[in-house]
Amino acid sequence: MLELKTQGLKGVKVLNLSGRFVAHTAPQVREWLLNAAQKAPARVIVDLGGVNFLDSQAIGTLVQGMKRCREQGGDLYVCGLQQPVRVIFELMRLDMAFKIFENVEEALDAFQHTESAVDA
Amino acid sequence: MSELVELTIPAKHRYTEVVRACLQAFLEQIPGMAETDTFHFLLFVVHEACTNVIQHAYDKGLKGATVTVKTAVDEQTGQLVIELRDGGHSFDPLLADWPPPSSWQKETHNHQIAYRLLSVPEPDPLWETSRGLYFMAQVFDEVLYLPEEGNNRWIMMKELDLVAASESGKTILWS
Repeated sequence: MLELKTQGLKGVKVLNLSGRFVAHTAPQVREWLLNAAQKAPARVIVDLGGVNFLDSQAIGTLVQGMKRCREQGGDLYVCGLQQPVRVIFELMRLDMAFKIFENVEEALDAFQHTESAVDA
Repeated sequence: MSELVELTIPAKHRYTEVVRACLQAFLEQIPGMAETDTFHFLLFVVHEACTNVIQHAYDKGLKGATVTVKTAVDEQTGQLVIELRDGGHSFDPLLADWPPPSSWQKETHNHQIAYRLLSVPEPDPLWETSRGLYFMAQVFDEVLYLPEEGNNRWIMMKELDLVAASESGKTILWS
């Protein structure tokens, strides 16, 4: 079971996930991400704070979404990683692929700073 | 050898949750185990192994397809042994697209052909697939793939640190 909650904050689409992010629950996330990345600039935050387990299908879904966001001039940030998720990210060196933050607020700030830098 | 836990599930993704829950209950008997990174790695990798079987061995679908998972720990050596068996189609690891053939060593195991997973190059973080075998090689001390007549077996072994358990006085791990 995976619960999805979405919100828009300061031009950023935020997806809060709770539960198990695995092969048979990943398609609903993939669909949301691909839809969110349709319009440029695609800025997305995925809050994994409520995810207690994820698998490589889930990781593949996040990677796919992140690549699509970057193609659309934005990015996909992740935040709120709990230990079961954090250790997998570390083992897979996914910090090389994703920008990872403690919480949604920090991720939002990072998007704001990126936007300011581009404007300057 | 500790108690043996054997579980057979339908080869469907939704049932891998049952395997994870079972392995979690098994490992949580080891004092302190649930607080370690190894605990999370093991849950993850066994889930991945089941997912791989469902996706690849049964990729064409098969009515009544199942995956059987056996788990045990040798209390003397602290070695965790997990075996997966499925009735899907076999593959030749040396001919697979990934990982490269150098990742495998072909050998004989109890008069059977076996492929030992040695090490797997680190996948590109931007790849969307092909991480399962890398994880298996990273987490387990030994991984064997045994293609047999009508089924496949994966045997994965890892030495666990049971010293903490004996020092805590909780010597009965598997009651």
